[in-house]
Amino acid sequence: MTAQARAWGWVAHLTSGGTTPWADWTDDGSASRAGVLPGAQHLELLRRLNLAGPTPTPLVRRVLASGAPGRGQQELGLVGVAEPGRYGAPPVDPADLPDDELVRLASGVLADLVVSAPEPAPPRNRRPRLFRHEYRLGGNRLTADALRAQLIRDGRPPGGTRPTVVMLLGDLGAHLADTWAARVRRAFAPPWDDWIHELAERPQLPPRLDPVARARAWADQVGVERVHLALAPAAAAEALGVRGLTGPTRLSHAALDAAGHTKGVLRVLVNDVEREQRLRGVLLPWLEAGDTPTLPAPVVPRRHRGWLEHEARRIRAGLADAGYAVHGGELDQLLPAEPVRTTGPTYGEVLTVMLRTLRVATMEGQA
Amino acid sequence: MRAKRVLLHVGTPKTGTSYLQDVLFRNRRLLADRGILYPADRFDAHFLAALDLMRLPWGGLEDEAVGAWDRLAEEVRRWPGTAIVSHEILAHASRTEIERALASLGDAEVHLIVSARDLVRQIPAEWQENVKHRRTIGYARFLTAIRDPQRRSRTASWFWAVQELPDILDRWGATIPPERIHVVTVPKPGSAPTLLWERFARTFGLEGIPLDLNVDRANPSLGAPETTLLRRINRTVNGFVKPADYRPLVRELLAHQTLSKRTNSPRLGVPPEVRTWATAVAIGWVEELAARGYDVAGDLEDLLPDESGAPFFDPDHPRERLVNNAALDVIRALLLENVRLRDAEADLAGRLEEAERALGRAYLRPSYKLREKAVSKLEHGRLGQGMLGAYRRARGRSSRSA
Repeated sequence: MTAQARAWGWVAHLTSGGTTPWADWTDDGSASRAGVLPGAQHLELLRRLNLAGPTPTPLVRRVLASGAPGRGQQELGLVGVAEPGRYGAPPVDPADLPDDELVRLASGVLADLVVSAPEPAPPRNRRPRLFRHEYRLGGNRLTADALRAQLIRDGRPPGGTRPTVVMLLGDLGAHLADTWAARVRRAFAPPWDDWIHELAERPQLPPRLDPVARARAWADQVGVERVHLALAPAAAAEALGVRGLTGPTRLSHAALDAAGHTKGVLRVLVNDVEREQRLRGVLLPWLEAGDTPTLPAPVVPRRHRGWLEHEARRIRAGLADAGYAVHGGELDQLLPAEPVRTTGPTYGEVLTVMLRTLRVATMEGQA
Repeated sequence: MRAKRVLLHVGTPKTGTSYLQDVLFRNRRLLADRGILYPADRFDAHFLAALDLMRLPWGGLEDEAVGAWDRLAEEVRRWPGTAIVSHEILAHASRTEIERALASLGDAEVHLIVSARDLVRQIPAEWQENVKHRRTIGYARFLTAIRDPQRRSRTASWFWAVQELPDILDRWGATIPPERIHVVTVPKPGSAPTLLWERFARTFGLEGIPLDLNVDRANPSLGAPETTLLRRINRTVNGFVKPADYRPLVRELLAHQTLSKRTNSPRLGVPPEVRTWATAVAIGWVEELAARGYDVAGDLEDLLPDESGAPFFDPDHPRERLVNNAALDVIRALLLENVRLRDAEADLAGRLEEAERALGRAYLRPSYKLREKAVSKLEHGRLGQGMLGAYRRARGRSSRSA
């Protein structure tokens, strides 16, 4: 049996749902065929997908046909099959491939699936009510976006000349993580570490992110008595006189990184308008379904904890001095809790989310 | 009827490709008259197509690349004669991407063209390109990365993907007969300045066409201290200068328009042990290419590095006086640019002031107050709104006919 025949046997094993690593693969060579073998990255990605159960055939085809986007290694040969010492990168044992290479390939496959999915349906909003409360939402952008969308669906769009302003606040570390997550969900966002580092380098938060500055700006427009601080979505509902508002679905840091990688590929595949639509209407719901609940949200790195606590105390004092109405708790809730983990996700965790998300996409019949 | 052919030039970087592409772009109408298509509506059209084909992020430029390869391929397929596609980063394409690219070109006879330069000159040029694309990797680290046999780093995988000639030709030429594969060698230093162009002209079938060769787009090289300075600038500004600003301000203004003019400073080279290693690699490549029987414009011997008597200037440990001199030139360029911008700002401020004065005069006319009052009243009633709408439609029509 030739090495090529052994490799084709492994390809057949993987395409039919097998999970045996290349190093352990023995075969009679009956699956031998002519042609160019798929790259080691493609085969290993397929094997990892199979670990959760046989991969559906359309997804198998997509994985094997997809080029890995961006910079990195091209299709690598399998050790023991490709002739070492010739040209191109040396052959590898697929099990030794670094996770970031598999993430790169998975982001290309996922981006292809996002683009080929049916166009997301626009939200079905009730017609604006004739008599409704005038309001504006500020503060935590992720929560504000989620609540606003629910209110609009219920016929209560924001606006008005003298609105009630509800600032959504909470643990400052989580507040900043949500602000970054909201950026990831909308359009371009730098990596979390860069973004938070850039903020922590400043003497204090820039006005657009500083709850004290934002609340003061609203108070100047509508009066202090109309600015309310809500420390939970239910408290926001109470301040607005509505019921049934629920907070946003939060993605883990790993899932947000997976979104970032996939968005990078989408930039080359679709224009910015369609990219945003497909990001919101397709990719994010898939990632919400494929996310691993035990993985943490972004956390402020240990080296910036001192800055975070200082900022939280400054903001608490600034808001308390201004005398706004507070709903849902005490302003002490702005002080950051000690996080369980202070490091970001590994590529392995990002890959785990991507593999689950690829399955979700396929289950929805998109592959 | 002319044969339908595609001349597909896929690399390598730093082999005179910018000059070639600019000649082709500027002369594209003349070329079309001669039956040769260079399908480009902007000078970087083929670069964008390459980004699209390979799904490569490039500091935000990829946003402009959506669908660019398919558009280019469609133009090529529709053209009945010879079409030229040229970009050096295509050398990076994977087998899957190459399959897609070749399939998209239809039934034309594809000729693969690779231009090549000796490896000892390519190594520092590639590092310099890294620095010009805002990377901060030091030269020693770069040299270590590219000599790693596993090629795991992004630096190494990119370098070999776009420089390893036999591999590029294996990937791109897997389904193309050797007689349709052409290697254009960059002449050795000291050769006639027109020699490379003559080789390109012969390979691309451009001989005898009165092309305008006086183009100004090139990708000029920097000296060793200038590259060191640029790397230090990257380290200082990368955190806050966006890619869209970096390209015109740092890459164009500082690197291309300022630092590349300093031609008397020491050139980048390689240390002796790297020269020995690179020469051995190059000898292997030349033997391999000679055995494959490709058409060669020039001489494969051009790809063998010369013995160099020039001393090696280490850009990681430069003579600071030379770097400081380069920095003074940079300060001068930035000041001049600031002066230009201040002049432009003053000019715009003057125009704005003039416009505001004209607007003020219009407001002061008694008829303006009357018209404003009338419009305000009309806007509050349904009948008035209808009348205003009719008036505005009528005014629009008369404006157009005027």
